Amino acid sequence: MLEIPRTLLGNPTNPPRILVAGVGNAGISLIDRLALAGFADAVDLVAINTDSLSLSSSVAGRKVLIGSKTARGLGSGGDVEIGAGSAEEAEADLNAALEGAGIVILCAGLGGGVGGGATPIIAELARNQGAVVIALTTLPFGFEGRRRVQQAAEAREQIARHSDATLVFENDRMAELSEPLAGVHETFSAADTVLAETVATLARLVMIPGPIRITPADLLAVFRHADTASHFGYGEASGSNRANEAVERALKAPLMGRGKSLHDARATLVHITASPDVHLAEIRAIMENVARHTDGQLHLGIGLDVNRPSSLAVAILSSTGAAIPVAAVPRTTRPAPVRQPRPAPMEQPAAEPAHDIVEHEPEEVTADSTPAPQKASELFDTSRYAVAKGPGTQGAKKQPKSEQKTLSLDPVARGRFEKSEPTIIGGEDLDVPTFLRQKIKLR
Amino acid sequence: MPKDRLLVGLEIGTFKVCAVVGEARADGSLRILGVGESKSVGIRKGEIVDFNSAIQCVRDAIADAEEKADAEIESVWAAVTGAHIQSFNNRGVTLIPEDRAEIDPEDIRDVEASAKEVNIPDQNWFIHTITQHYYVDNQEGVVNPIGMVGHKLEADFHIVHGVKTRIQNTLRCIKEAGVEVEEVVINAVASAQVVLDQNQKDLGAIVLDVGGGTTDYLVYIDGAVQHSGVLAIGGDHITNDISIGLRIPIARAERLKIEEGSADPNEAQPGDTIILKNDSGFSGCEIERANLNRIIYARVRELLELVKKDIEGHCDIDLARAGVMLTGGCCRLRGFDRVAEAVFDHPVQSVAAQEVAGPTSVFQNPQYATAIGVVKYAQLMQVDPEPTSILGAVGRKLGSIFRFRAGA
Repeated sequence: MLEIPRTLLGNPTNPPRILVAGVGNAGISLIDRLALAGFADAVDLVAINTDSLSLSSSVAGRKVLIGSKTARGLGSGGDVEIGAGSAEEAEADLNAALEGAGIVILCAGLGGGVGGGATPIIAELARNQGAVVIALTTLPFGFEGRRRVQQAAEAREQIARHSDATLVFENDRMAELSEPLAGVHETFSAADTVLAETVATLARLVMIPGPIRITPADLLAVFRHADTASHFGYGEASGSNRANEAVERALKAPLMGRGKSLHDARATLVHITASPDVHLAEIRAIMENVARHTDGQLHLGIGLDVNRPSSLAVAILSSTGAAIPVAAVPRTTRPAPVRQPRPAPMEQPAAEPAHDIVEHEPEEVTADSTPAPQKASELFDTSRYAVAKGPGTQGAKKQPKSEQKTLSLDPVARGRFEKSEPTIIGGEDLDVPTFLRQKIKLR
Repeated sequence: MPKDRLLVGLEIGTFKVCAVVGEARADGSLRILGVGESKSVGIRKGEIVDFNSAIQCVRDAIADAEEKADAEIESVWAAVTGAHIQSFNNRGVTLIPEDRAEIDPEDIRDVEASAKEVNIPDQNWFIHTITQHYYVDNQEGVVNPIGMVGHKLEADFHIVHGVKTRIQNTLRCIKEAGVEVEEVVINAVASAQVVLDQNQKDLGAIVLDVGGGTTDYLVYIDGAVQHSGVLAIGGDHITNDISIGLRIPIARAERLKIEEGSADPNEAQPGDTIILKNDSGFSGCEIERANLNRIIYARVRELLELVKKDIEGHCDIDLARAGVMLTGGCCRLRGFDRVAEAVFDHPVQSVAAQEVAGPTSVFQNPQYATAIGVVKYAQLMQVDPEPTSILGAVGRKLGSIFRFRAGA
């Protein structure tokens, strides 16, 4: 009998090495969560910050302290200039840390000084090394003031310019993940979990072999554009009805808005991870269910995981919004960085305390990586998530584009069907009056 | 089979719960004795959302029917609908054993079972398995293969399935109201029994039952059910649209729709206004007739286009030569048939139950078509005691496999 060289389960090509970098406090708390979830073995986790305290409490395998001169081992104070300056200063260290990665996932909160300031520069460095750069970012809360939101928008634009794909999650939406009266800590932890699941999914997409692979190109097709909001849903189920249950769960995930967010999704990526005995019928059921919610382009990926005896997981990633193509800076704007031969690898930032991970493991693991001396005046740890203190000093060379958003229909428009199961066909919520959806003018 | 037995059809609709008491005569005809109804509470889109209110509605409707028909109701046949109901066509194949050449009822059962060997979601039940065509050794057009000689029996089926628990809710509600449920039938199949005659089924026809919460449709082509579906949009949506668009309360919008509404956008003259008198809790206002009609037209047109698109995805509409039969309460809306004609580009008739005797006010009202259809369906199932019926084998287990011969 003929032996087919590439079996379904086989892993013919080496998957590209994935490096997940947490930039700034928000990013680091996210990669810490990944490390705790056992992802440290599968991907390289790198913590990057100006704050040596926050770095020392991180459980990431590698740590890069940036801006030892600019920020003197302290935080950026929400100042993007300091963030950017620090990253430029530590270019060599960063380059060494990023070396060899095929895919770099940058996690950052855009409201922060480091997250907003350093991330674009790190993205550029990684790209110049030839890696595919995916930025996973959070936008500040709306109530943090227009200034910060604007600063985040600028940072987002900068990052989009230097990365291949951008996933943007809004903190305002994240807040909906938990009860309105839930503790702040709980809310953030729920948000982190969702983001960590997203990163885990991105990693799985590339790492787990299967008959239909998602290539970085597929990812880029979905997330290529800058001015988007991203949606993520994840569901897992086992048993004989696992396909339907898993996809239902994924669609009902909070960030999916019960499947409504898919409505105006330009492109949607569906990744199914299952045991090798998955049926085609199950995959069809999943895809049909997703297709019911969207008219956009669908990308399908299937990963077969032998370690997953009977369960099936569905991850849905999509992005919406005006498709403004990133004015991509050609990859080689600067000469490829001349790599100075370095005696020692870079994890050891010149300045600060020895970062022996093992040493920190026991206590800090549970401490949720909150940098110890928190400014007590803050209602919550804003630096972690979003906030930039002080005015954004970013040069105002780009006015945020004022664009006409499509009228978003408030839930009131569903009237008496408010609480009933929505009738969604072709991604349209048909309970909303037709004349509103078709924008028929009444006199 | 007892002579002149009573059959009761119950439809738990979004707008009304309605029980029709019919008498199946020994000669095969059907006579309606009485209709009981009550206004629905706790039903949305054809499904129960408030269990206790729904029980009370069923109780009221049954009591009303008992009084009108002067009969005692012990069990009913129930119509079910809802967005969860899906359908598809499939072919079953079975080989006739070597030692016997004649096709017997057992083979019919086998071919049906083989058609049902498909992957439907685990939580779903088969509701109907409707025979379309038989083929004996590739010979087409076999009407009844029993007794024929052949090696291979094939059959096409139209299979309807829905979510188990959601059907069970309807069943439990009826039981709680104090009556037993014989079988369930989907709205569209029931309506088609009385809306279409054999000639129309053979010619090919589309039945469109537009109710309060759902639109149920069924397509006959060449005498067989080719497609069926449920769209969870109905008259309720029109009312809701009016209420939102003209900023008036739901109850007022409902009355306005019935009294003044039209689906024809060209009917209103510019400047033509309707004055709504003040009511308790509503201060009265003046609205443009054109606005009202525009809102209705947009919804009706969209609804019909969605149905058409779905039907087109499954069969050739041009083969429905008898055209579109409109029924259900919502199709009484003025101008509805004209919009349907424009959308389907086929002759459209507004019809009610045809082949029954009884008070004309009942069977000429399209609102009752489904409930009367259920009675007719029950009659067909019992008049034609197919020896192959699985009912006997499986027993009276609700929601089990039902069988009925299309066009029987």
